[in-house]
Amino acid sequence: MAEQRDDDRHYQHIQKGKLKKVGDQMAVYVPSQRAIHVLNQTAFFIWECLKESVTFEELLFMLTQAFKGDRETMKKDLEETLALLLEKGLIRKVR
Amino acid sequence: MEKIILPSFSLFQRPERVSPHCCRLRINRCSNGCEFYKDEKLLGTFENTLEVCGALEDEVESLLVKSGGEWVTFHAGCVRVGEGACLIAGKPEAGKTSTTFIMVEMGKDFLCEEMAPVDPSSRLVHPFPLALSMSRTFAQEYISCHPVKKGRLEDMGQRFSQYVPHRAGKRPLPLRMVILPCYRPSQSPGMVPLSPGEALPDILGCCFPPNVKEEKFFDSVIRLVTGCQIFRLLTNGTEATRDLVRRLT
Repeated sequence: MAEQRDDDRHYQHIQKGKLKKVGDQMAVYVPSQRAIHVLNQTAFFIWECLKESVTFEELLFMLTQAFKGDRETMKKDLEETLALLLEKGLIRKVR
Repeated sequence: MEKIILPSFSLFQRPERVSPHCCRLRINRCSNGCEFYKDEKLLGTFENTLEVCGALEDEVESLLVKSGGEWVTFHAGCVRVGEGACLIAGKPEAGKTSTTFIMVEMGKDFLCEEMAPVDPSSRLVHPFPLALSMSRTFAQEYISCHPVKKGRLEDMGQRFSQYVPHRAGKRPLPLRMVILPCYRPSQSPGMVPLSPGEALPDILGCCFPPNVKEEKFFDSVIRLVTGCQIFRLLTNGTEATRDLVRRLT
């Protein structure tokens, strides 16, 4: 079977993360990890978008609507942020 | 032995305060050094007084953290700045003790060394004025440029010096400021303001293990950091730290 293209992959944030306000930023407390992760503005936007299962392309579209900037730069930033959120166990690939 | 141990704890001896976690610590001289007992159980034998003093400090710190209940205990120094408490927190070797020493010598009232217990509900930092242990190299470099006026600085051998401030604040003060020292010889000095979110990971890394569940602990630390000014103090040496400390009010 052919490998699924990254752009078609669906992502969703974990269900057991609890949001905490830290000054003007947000943090996610993950009880199973016994850890807390501070999110910057972009990461928090992505976290909010990932309440439901969303593809990379859909996420990129939402980002370009919400923030001003070059699309290619945003695409690269999104790839890096998703990789980091996956590594920290805050989001998962759903299909 | 008393010459080393008593000055270390002299500023905070409060015999009237008895903790439910109270225990009896006893040090005995023996043929190969010192034996250290806790509630008459031998914890270890140490070759010299400095080592047993370190073990005694560890026991006192552990007792204090246990007694603190829901308090947050920071691995930090603390001085008074204005009407509030200023924590000097950071990882080992970040320059906490040298910064605390410089601040005390520059006229800030001394409150805590090594650990700073904070009640998150009242935001009050409670004094824990342990003597400051620092490298002999740093101490010698300092006294070659500046007189030591606010305490007694003594060479303890084994590459370190001990500083006992003449006085320490006795009343708790509200937490107003956190300084995260960062010493690198090659960097330009400066005081960089940090948002609570930017500082939270560093500050969590400076906390002693909590007595409460993680979420309650995180909530307490978040509450504490969101109500104060936070700076990363970038320094490349004593003179830079002194210049930066002068700007704090």
